[in-house]
Amino acid sequence: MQHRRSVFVALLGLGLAMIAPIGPRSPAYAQTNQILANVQKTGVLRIATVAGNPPYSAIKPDGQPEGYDIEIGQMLAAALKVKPQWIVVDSPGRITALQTGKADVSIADFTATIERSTAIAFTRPYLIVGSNYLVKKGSPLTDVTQVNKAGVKIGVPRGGTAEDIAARVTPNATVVRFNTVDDAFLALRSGQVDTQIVDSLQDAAFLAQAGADFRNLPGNWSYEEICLGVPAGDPDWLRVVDTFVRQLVGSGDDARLFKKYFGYNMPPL
Amino acid sequence: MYQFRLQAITSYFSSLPISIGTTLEITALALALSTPIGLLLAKARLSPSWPIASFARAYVELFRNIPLLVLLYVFFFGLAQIGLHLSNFWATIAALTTNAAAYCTEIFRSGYTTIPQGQREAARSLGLRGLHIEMFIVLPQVIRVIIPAYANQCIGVLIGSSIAAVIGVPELSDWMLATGSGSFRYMEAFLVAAVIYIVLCQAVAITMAAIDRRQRRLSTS
Repeated sequence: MQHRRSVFVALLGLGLAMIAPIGPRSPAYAQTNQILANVQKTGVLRIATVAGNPPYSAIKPDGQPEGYDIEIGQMLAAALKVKPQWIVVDSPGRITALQTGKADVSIADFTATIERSTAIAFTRPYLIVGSNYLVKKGSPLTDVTQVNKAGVKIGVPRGGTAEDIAARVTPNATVVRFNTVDDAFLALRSGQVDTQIVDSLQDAAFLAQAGADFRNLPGNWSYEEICLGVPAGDPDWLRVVDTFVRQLVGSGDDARLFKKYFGYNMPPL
Repeated sequence: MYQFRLQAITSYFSSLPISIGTTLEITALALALSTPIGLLLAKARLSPSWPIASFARAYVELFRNIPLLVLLYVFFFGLAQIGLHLSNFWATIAALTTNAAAYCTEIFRSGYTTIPQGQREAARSLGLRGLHIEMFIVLPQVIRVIIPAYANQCIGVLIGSSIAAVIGVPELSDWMLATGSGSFRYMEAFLVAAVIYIVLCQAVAITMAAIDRRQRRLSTS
């Protein structure tokens, strides 16, 4: 009896904790205007990135991150004369890491959307990408209309824009969500999903390497501006990071890094 | 300071009943499959035949020592690469069942060891046959002994079902992650899921405690 009463009290407590702090409409995390000062004071730039998304970002077996976005992050830290500290998150974690103050900037193949902009802020884009439906070479699927049927399985990383594309382009198909792009790709390779929605530039780099076993269905299904994300409510910090992006693109460093990691010339912005 | 607002995720509540249903379905199926396997393996472990006993022992040691997540990846991605395609739902059931059966074996085995050998001898001298001794003398006592440990096992499987989210089975943890990523409100989604898991586990615990009490009453009257 004692046990049951204590459980009841604990549940009641949790329930109260959930309804008590309801206030007026407010952002999830109240920002203060001092990220730049904090970065300079600590000498550390905390950068959120994702694992398993080459050639943008991936974690090497020794735990070190590598890729196009990683080198951009290193350049940003160097420009600010501080050390980069990497925080590995999943797709939606790129937003929550900023909201909760765990990271100062998210650099991870990060598409600016209106919905996300209501929660965090984006710089100008440093890359424009589309998206493709990738299938195995021997797949019977030849067109996206064939994908749009109940029972056809589409692999997507959870919380990425691929989820929105699947809902918009092929609403009748079954979406299977995975934690990383690599996991979704493993599902495609092992035949657990029929197709995967992939970032078009990543896709091109990938097909150049392992193209023998895979092909794209015709069509490009999105226009996505890849940007750096920063917490909302700190215009000074956004101004600094946006200046970095402007110079990254203008100086040609962006195109040089792109060529280095993707293996072909960067499409125009 | 995080501004907690439960209303931010209320629009996601409509898909909650289906998610909870899937969690319960996974749990019930995994328990229904792993319990008889556990019973058979426990009998095998106690068998006087050396190969049978070592097979059961090897099973327990193997599957108790592989993390559930690894099992899940083997059943979902691994088997598919050699041509055996389990859907994400059935891969979850297979992973949970193989893991739970190992634990269940040990639970049944501990139950069997509490039954004095003299009871079997007495039953045999009264003319009961092997199957009857098992069904009417030994097993009812074993079940009575193992109920508290088995209740733990049920809760373990219920909580373990949450790993299904990594291969996209639409259960409660998947709801939690999808709601968090859709609304950018993780704290709210986490708390709602945590409270529901607590309620579900408590329901299991209370049911098992009631069964336990009833069994004890029956055995003393």
